Amino acid sequence: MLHPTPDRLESYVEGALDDSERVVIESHLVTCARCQAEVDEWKALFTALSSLPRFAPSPGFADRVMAGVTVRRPLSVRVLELLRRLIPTGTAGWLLVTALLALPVVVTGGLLAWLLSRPGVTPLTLWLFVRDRVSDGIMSLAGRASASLLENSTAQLVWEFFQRVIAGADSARLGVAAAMFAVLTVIALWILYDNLFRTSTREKHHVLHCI
Amino acid sequence: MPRGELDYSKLTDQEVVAQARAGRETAYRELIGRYERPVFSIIYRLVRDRELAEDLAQDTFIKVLNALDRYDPKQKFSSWIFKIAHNTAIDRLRKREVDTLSLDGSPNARTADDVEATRIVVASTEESPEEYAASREIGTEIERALARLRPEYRTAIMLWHIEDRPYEEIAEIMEIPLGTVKTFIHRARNELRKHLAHLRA
Repeated sequence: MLHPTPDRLESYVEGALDDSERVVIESHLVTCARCQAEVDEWKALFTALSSLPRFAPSPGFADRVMAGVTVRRPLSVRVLELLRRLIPTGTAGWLLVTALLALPVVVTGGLLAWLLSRPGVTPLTLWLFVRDRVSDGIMSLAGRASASLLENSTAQLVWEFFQRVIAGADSARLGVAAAMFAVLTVIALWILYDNLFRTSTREKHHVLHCI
Repeated sequence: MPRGELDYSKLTDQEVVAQARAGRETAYRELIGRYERPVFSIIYRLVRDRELAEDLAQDTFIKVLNALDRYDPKQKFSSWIFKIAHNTAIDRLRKREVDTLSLDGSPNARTADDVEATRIVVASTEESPEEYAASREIGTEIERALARLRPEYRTAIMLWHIEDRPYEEIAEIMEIPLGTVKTFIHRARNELRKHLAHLRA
């Protein structure tokens, strides 16, 4: 009688054989006590292993983990949270918000009513006056902006300002200014580094290594 | 459940991770709840020292949860966390030159009391107390036999038999070829049968 190898019987118990192979082994097992005993041993091992318990860590494990975890809130979530905090919860809060929102309407309305009550002021003259002032303002701003763009005067102005400051100041003042500038730069760089790169660098390396 | 809280039990791991990435602390706790037992069990059976296993399981979760923004949702979350758990325990075993053939208690135990105190203990079981009491003897023998396997064999066996992971996922977790996983598991089972042979007599 040709017996299946022990490996074959292991695969049979594991359920890794296809239907035709399984049928062949099952028909053999009916007549072979030795192979049946081998199969029973494999089954006993599989049952024992699959009934091994999962152990639980001691109570408070989640809290201990969370103490070392930084919950990162995306900017959108933080903004929403801030807005949610600004929404009033009680009647008094809502009254205050309504009053604040109504204030500009009341002031503008009052001003308009006062102006229109003046002799010689009609809605049309008031509209023409406001329109002319606004368009003059816009045109003047646009003109200045385009001129400064054309001459690249902003950078030039800044440079000239620095030149004047340097020429006019004595060396002691310049030294103090330079030191303050250096300190502020270092602080700014540190804040940037601390927020962008420093957070759990060690873990990043380890985890990336694992991925 | 408080109003506004999600029912995480209906969400997949990937969906819970997405919630955690959106800044929900409850989602982080859900992930810990889902994996604390599997992760702790694997590490505990590798290092066989409860206190050390707690520390390493804690390290594993902290590493994973602090790196959620780099998690690729195409990968199974379980594979990722098991990989980090396995690597963390193996690194520590190598670093501390732990005697992986130790049968009872922590390899660092110096006295008989230490050995008893650090002997692997079943903290809880998913079986009923009656069933558990009946199987305690074979359970203990199995634990001792398991402890005699190489750590890599132990991880492979635990992932297949306890965590029901397919060979392909075990290969991904342990970063070894599929054929090697099959060989590990086959050899480990044969070794276990050899170590348990005296029970048949």
